[in-house]
Amino acid sequence: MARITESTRNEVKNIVYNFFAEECEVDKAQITYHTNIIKDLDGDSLMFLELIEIFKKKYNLEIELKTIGKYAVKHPVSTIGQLIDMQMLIIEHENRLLELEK
Amino acid sequence: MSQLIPGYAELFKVYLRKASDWVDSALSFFDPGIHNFLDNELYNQYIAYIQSCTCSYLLRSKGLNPGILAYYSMGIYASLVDSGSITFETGLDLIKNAYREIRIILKDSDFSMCSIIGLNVDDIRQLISRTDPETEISNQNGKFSFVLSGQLSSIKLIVTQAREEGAIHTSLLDVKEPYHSRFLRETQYGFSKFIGKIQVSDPVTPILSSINQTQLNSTGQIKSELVKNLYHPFNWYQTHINLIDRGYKLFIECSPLPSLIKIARFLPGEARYISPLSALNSPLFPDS
Repeated sequence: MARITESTRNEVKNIVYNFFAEECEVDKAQITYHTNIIKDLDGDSLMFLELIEIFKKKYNLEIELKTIGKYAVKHPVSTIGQLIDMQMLIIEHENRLLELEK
Repeated sequence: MSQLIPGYAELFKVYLRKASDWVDSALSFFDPGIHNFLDNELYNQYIAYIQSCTCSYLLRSKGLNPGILAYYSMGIYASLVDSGSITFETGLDLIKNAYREIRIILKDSDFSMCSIIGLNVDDIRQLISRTDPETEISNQNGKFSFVLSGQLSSIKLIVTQAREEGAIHTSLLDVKEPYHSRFLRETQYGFSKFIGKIQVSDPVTPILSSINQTQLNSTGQIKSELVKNLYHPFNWYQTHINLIDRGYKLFIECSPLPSLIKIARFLPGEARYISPLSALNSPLFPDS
């Protein structure tokens, strides 16, 4: 289980903000924790998938996509803040993510 | 967007007029903002074909000579035009006749297709076996990305269950035809007969089969591929890997929309997929 520090959170936040600013062609300053990914940024689930791949590579994560998918069904993500929170949980718990449900 | 390529809008109109005169006068009413034909599968195919032909012709006219061509699904027709194997008009006739054969076979049955991302091939096969074993994987876009064809009711059920199994993304495609699946096998008889009558030449630029990743060099191979393409699954993932193994690293998607560029984000290897506009602004065209 990875230890999450403030520095990790900031790093994740930066990656997510930069990713959506570039992908959705918006000013990074316009993105906040409350920004709705679909309604405000015209984002989609493929972007979510791409971000997962970015984090898997960066943090060398051992997690199956379907584990994240099963978690996301019960904890749907709609805002940037929720997405960052989920990424933090993924980094912290990896394939044990679903054990949080128990 | 390819609309930004110098000359795209003008050439698209020329091709649209040709298509309207050749195959269906209703095409002249096409307007991307008002009348885009998205609700009509046949017209949609005509438009996608005209767009691809426009892009590839413009790139060729600027001096681009690709080492190889690859096609995705019904993009086979535009790739054959670019390869010099068929004329623009023959491509239109192929689209029209293929669709006619498909509708004859399907009659009023309800079919559809879906896209599932996030599950592996074993998960997908298990889903199929416990819902409707007749459903077929009609294309694999990546290690965790699949397109399925089947009866509408089965496809809907699979989409629902795929989400429960942990698929990150599922979507029911807006088509009533189960392309690239056994449900269209019967089209081979009528479509072969039509293909026997048309002029197909050996390609000047080789084409890679999306079905079995062999290089199509001859008229006979192309005719066979045309027939199979309707009812045989293809594999974009393997096509991508094969292209990389052959040493190709830069691919230009001949379309106004970046569909393959999006898919490529999840494909292995260092290859880059770019739009026609990016291609024109790249070192491929030093004078641009």
